[in-house]
Amino acid sequence: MLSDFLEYGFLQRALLAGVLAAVSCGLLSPFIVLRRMAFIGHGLSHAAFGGAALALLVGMNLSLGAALFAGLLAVVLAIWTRRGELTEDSAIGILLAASMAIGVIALAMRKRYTQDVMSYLFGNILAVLPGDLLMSVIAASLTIGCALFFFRPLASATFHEDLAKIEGVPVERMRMILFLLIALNVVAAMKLVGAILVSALLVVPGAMALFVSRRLIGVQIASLAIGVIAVLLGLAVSYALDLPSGAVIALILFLGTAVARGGAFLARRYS
Amino acid sequence: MILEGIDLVLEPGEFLGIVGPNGGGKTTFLRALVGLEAADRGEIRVLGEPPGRSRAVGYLPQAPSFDRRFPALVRDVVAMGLPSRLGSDEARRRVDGVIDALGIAHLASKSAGILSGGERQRLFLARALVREPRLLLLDEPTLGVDAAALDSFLHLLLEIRSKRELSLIMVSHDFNVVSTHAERIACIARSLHFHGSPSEITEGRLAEIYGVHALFLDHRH
Repeated sequence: MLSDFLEYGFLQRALLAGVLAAVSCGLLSPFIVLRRMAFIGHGLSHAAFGGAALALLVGMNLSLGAALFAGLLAVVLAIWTRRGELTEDSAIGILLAASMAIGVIALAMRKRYTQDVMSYLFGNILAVLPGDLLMSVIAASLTIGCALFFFRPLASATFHEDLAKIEGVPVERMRMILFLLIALNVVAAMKLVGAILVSALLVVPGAMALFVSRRLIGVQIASLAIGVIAVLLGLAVSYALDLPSGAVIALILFLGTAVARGGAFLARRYS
Repeated sequence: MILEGIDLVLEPGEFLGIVGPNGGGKTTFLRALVGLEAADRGEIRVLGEPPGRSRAVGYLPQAPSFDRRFPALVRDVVAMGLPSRLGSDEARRRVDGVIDALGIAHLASKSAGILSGGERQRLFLARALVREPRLLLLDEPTLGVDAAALDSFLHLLLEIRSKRELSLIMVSHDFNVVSTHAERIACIARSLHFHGSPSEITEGRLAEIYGVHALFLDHRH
């Protein structure tokens, strides 16, 4: 199997795109979990689906349409939740439904071939094109850069927003940057694991990593490692058993969480 | 919360206690001073600047809370309060110094999420003090803290104040706690009802502001 991965370009692209998605989603995941916005990945991936459907209707590049629409909704989300009058989960719920509705209506109006758009819903990591890989490289580079450069203000704003604001942290800008990074990564990862499963990469590694370290930097490294292991293992299993890779990756992440929770329970019980 | 007719000046190094009934606007007033609430009219200047601009302001929020799962050690949380662009040696010196001064050195490497209420209060005070503020704002620091912890907290606060040129504004619903330590008090119940030395206020005036008969303890200045 290893020789296949070394030999075939589509497998190498799948591997690289998967690892890049795992690294950048892993870095963002602790912030998403700690800010209690686990459904943001779900919401923005549906926004991207709506954007791809609209792009198909107007004859635009699908990835560009998905990225623009998801980015627009990330900005709307940041503005709507700025003053705390609307909670993030409510705003995500509203935008998710609206985006899905736009996507369904756009597809109904098209009445022709819509398979490309459907691939955004379910993903196909083995059909990653060089252009998709470029998107993954851009998303990962920006995420790693922002995670390093804005680590302290992002951590401070996530810990206590009011105090961070008083201490001079631009909390609203940090929230906007975080939402835009999530949108970018959702669009990059959707082609791999699909809209429905992208939130697995954005939520599970961070949630699991919280049990691993007592410091945020340690949690981020653990989250990144968990994502990468799940993607590599998921790709290998899905290739060997001829199963959908996105679903296998999501299931491996779930099984990892179940084992970690079970282990923690037993450790508490018998310690 | 509507607040009006509040005209107050804090002298450098002064300890001002803000008292008043629950829902009277004390916290709103403090939040306006740090820029978390905007005033529709009038002017607020904090250390000569508009609210939220001066970095020499420390703030201890009411019943400070955070997500207990947040992965951070006590020293990490204190370090979050450091001004940006501080060298690592100076940052370490400030964090260690304030942790020692507040008597929480034994907690420095513990997870912030496991602290008790009193320890959490000291943690947030350390985060406010690590900025080396000239003005420290405390919102109901006496809330949910037992008498012994409160006493030690207030002594600590006064000790820090005596060592630094620090002005203090402390909000409390408890007149007796504030009047024991503050040089001046301001009674706020939607507007400013009294501003002066604690010894100048009469029991009748206080009862009028609070809407009930207030019990004076005889330790006012």
